[in-house]
Formats: sequence, structure tokens, C-alpha cells
Amino acid sequence: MSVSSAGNRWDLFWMLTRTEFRLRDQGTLAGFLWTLLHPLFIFSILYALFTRWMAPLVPNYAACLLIGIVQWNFFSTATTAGMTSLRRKAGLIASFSFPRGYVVSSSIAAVLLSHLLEWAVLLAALLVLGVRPGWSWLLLPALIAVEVALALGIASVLSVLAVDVRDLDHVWGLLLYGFFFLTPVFYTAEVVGEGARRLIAVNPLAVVIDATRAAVIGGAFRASPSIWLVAAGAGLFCAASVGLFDRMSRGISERL
Amino acid sequence: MSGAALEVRGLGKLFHHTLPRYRTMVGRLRRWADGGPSGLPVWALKDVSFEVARGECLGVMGPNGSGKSTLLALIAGILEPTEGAIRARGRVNTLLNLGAGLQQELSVRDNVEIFGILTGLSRRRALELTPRILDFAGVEPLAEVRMAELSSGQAARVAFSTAMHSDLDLLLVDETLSVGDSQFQAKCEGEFQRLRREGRTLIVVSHDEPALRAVATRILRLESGRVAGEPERIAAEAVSRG
Repeated sequence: MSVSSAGNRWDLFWMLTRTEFRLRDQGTLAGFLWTLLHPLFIFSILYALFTRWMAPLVPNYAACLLIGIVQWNFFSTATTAGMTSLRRKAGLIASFSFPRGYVVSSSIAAVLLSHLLEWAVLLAALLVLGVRPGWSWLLLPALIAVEVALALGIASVLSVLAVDVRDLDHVWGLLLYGFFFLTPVFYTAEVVGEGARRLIAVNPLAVVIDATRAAVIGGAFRASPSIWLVAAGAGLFCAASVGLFDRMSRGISERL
Repeated sequence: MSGAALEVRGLGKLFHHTLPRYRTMVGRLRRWADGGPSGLPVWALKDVSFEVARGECLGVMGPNGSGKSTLLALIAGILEPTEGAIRARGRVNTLLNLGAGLQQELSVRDNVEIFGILTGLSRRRALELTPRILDFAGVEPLAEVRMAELSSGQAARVAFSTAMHSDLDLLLVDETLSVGDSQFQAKCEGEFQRLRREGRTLIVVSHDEPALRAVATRILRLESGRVAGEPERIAAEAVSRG
């Protein structure tokens, strides 16, 4: 195919994204509601389990938990969808010549569309929970962009590895499971011990979630060194991973 | 260099077929520890050279496993050559697998847009051409139904019609002539003639020798990945009868 012009490249990327989004969510409101049900279900369980211990320690625990779950859900779904994207689109890759990176990035973009819709619902829910909107909410797109860069960087490398190592899905699933507990999704860094806090401090996703909570609930433009460091690191990591993907994905059609 | 639409020089493609047991994490570690082979080496194509002039239709024949589909995938840029060079002038388009790119759960109309973009059309152009493509494929009344509701022949017509409406200089077609009924095959042949008259170049792979002879100006035979003899020239009247 000819994807020589920028317009054609955008059309291809948007078509792949839209198709993936529609096939995931059936392209309907009911389909989207089904995808909302998953984070809501997790929220209900975690809230019921931990509110007794967390609520006295964490102000507005329900809002904190909701933000943690939505952020985590994006990271987990995007990396998994991106990792399996090349295998899922094997037929397309074997039949058409186009930049292979579009397959991974469009998978992440499709999850991002759902994520943005989840945020719209989440912000409405936060208002109900008594959170006051502020200028710091304008930081949200930048914080989401950092998370997208992290997810795209990880998925770019995993997607090529998953072509040659067919059971990588299981390994990644296990790693995600462990990573969930090391990330302050249902707790905050302030309520854990010093040792755990040091672990959390080097977890980039934890820093993003913490900064998001501060911006949305605390109404603070928290420009702590960690978030700037994570933002710069995520950008560099993403660029390096996409470069690595270009090298590793050579000859991918014959390995699929 | 000549002014040919396509030049292929000393083309070779080596595949390393991986054993299934090496496609897991433990399998890869075991292979790495044992220092085992990276795969079974198989030359799918070796020392293949030919040229195709602008406006020509080259038919490619050969038994299963002779390298026909690999040749098209290499020209399309889907696979990378192990050795040799390919020089194609203009926009190359492919019709390698009529089912690839079609989304069974989306409507026929959506699929025309998707397939159109995959074959190089802009989204706007694909939307403009959709009524004409649906009409050509004979599925206009079914535009809003799920792709899965169409028969395999109808689905093939949708893909073929969309590819025929895309901008291209060189079209690579794999086994399309064996898909669909005789009416559809006649339509394919008519379209190939039209493309040739417009100065487009075609390379068509098929097992169906009579159908290939009806459209091709020359026939290249592949055997075990090598060109078997000089390409056979088809008499002009035999082609125009198609």
C-alpha cells in the first residue's frame, strides 16, 4: 500500500485505532458501559475491603481509590493490548506493507479512547464525592500523556518479544499482578512503611498516580522533582523503545 | 537501468523455520543453553531475476511451495530479501489475501473504508468511492449488514472491488482468479484488461492456467524457488480474448 503522505499515515493510524476501539467496545454506549463495569467492580471490592483501615488515614479515600483504579486499569489494559497486537493483526501484517509500529500504537490509542471516556465519568463521580474542580485539573492531559508514553514504551518491546515467545502473555500477567500491589492503587505512599515507600518512590507509575491524585483531589500543581524526572524519563524511554521496535520488528511478517 | 515497471535481480529469500518447542520462554532458554540451531533453513527463492514492462501483466505459475507467494510478498515489501534487489517504480498495491483486513463484526460499508485505506486510499477518497465500490461488487443492498453475513464470494468481491478502485501503478494479485464464481472471475479478467489499457502493471499468481493465460502477457514459471526457463510470451490475441 502507499502510505507516503502524512494524511494517508494519519488515516491509516486512525482507521486502525477506530476499528480496534469499535471491536473492543462494540462501538456502542452499552459496550462502553460494559468496559466501565470492570473498574467499578474492582472499586466496589477494594473499597469494601480497605475503607475501614484507609479512610481514617487517607482523606477522601473513595476518590483516591477511583483515580488509582482508573490509572492502573489503563496501564494494565494498554500494555497487554499492545503486547498482543502484532499477533492479533498477523493477517494484516502478512498482506499489507505499512509501518508495523502503527499496529502497537493504534492498540494503545484505542485503550486511551476508553480511558478518556472513563476519566469523563470519573470526574463527574469526583464532583459527587465532594472534590472541587480547580486549575490543577488542567495538568491531567500531561499526566495522562506520561502514562501513555510509559505504556507505549513497554508495549513496543513486549509486542515484538511476544511474537517469538508465545507464553510471554502469562509472564506479563503475573508481573502485572505483582506490580499492582507495589503500586499505590488502593493505598497511598503515606500509609506504608519506610521500606515500601522507597520501593514506591522508584516506581514511575506510582509517581504518576500520586501526582494525579494531588492535582485532581488536592488541587495542587505539585511540581515535585519526581514527576518531572518521570515525565522526562518516560519520554526518553518511549523514544528508545520505539527505536528498538523498529530494529526488532524487521522481518516480523515471517516470524508471525 | 531500464525503464521497466519492475526489475528483480538475483533475488533470494532464506527462511528459518522455527520448531514449535522453541517458541516458549523455556524453549528459547533451552535452545540458548544447548546452543541449538536457530531454525531449519529453507531457501524459498534463489537467484530469481526478471523484468516487467509498464502495462504488462506477468502471470506466475508453479507447484505449491515453489515460492510464488513469497515472490509477491517480497515485491510488496512485506518480506525483506535475503539477497538480490527489487526495484519497483510507482505505487505498489497488493491483493494477496482477500480476507485480510476485513472485519467480520463491522458493516460492509465500514469494511470498504478500512480496506480502501489499507490499499492506499485516503479516508475521504474511500468514503467518496464507497457507493461505486459497493455497486461494482454487487452488494449495495447489503451495505449496512455485518461482513460475517456475506458469503465468501461476496466478501472476496468487496475486497477485490475496493482494490480495483485504489490508486496504483503495480498491482500484485495472489490467487484471486480461483476465488468466486465464473461471473466474478470474468469480472476480474475484465478489470485486469482495463488496468493494462490504463498503463498499470500487474503480476498475477494463480494455479488456474487457462484463467492466467486469459489475462497474462507473459508467464513465469517457478520450481523449487527458481525460475524455470525463460518466461513464456502469450499471443496478444489469446490475451484479448479474455
